[in-house]
Amino acid sequence: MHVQRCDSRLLEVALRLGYFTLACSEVHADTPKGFYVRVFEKAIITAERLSDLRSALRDVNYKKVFVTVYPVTVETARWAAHDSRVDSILMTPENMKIFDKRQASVMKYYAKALEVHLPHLLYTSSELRGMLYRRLNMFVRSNIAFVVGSSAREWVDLVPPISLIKLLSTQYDIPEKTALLSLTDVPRQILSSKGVQ
Amino acid sequence: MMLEYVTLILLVLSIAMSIALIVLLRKTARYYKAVKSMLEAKTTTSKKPRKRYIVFTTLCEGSVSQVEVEKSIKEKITEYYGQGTLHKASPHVVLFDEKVGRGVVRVLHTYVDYVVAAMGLVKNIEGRKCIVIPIRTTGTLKKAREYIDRAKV
Repeated sequence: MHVQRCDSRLLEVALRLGYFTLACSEVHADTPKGFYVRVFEKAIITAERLSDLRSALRDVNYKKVFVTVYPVTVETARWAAHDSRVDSILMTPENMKIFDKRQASVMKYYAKALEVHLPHLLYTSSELRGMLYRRLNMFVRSNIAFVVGSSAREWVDLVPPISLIKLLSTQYDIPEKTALLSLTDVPRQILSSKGVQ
Repeated sequence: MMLEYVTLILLVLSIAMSIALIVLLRKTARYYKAVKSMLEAKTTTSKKPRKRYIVFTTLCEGSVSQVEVEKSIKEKITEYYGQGTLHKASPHVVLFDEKVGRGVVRVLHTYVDYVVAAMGLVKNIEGRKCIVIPIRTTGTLKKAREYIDRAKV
């Protein structure tokens, strides 16, 4: 589960909810070491141009860090899909127009996961949610791995896993099994590729 | 000679009657199946709506009351699924222990998923930071009480 900002309270609540592994964009100084919830660093690269993406990927330690690309153009989206250093590609209401059938086939061929953040699924307008619904279903029905992140900054932003699964199945018609895999197996496979046991 | 003719006629008649009987039986079997399927369809649609009890716990800054929890859950169902779903699901907090922050919500069995999803989206109750965690769904209040007692979340 992706979390924007990790601190001790958030980790405590995450453990109570049943999350054992978190990928954090920012780790707060008071985060306790040796806590039961494991924390990994996550880098979200905003790619407006191909050259920016290349240079950003050059600087990231992709063997240890969970790398997510937020593509703004079609060119960067296609390029990110076939780059082996990239773990997942982020879809938001701003860039979802570039996620078409071709992008889906490229992502499927290179086994790239699609990442979606919960606030985008919940707090956008109904029109944008409709567009997200169509794209999400297209990607899920074409068997592309799918990861859900919470983007939580506070402990109240965390959602219990069972509620998240039911939410995805009732509001976005995603099968419950796929929703469960998006929280468990798919992120686990990505972490396993980075040598995490 | 006459006797032979009579036996032949009787034989032909018996064959014709048995064929007619088979045809009639097949028709009646078809009618029987049609009537049976109609009755089955009726029985499935007129099934009695059942109740489900969702055991939940709250994590809050400060204590919250039963009325406040019910109100916040209802607000979330209305926000994400609409008034229609709220009325059909008719969620009602039947039990709530304010000291430990655990309780039970009663809903219609067809709307359990909607209520569980909405419960997870509660972020604050009356201005206090709070989350609601669904633990277990049961069919009886007695079992729900047992889960409240032994829930360790």
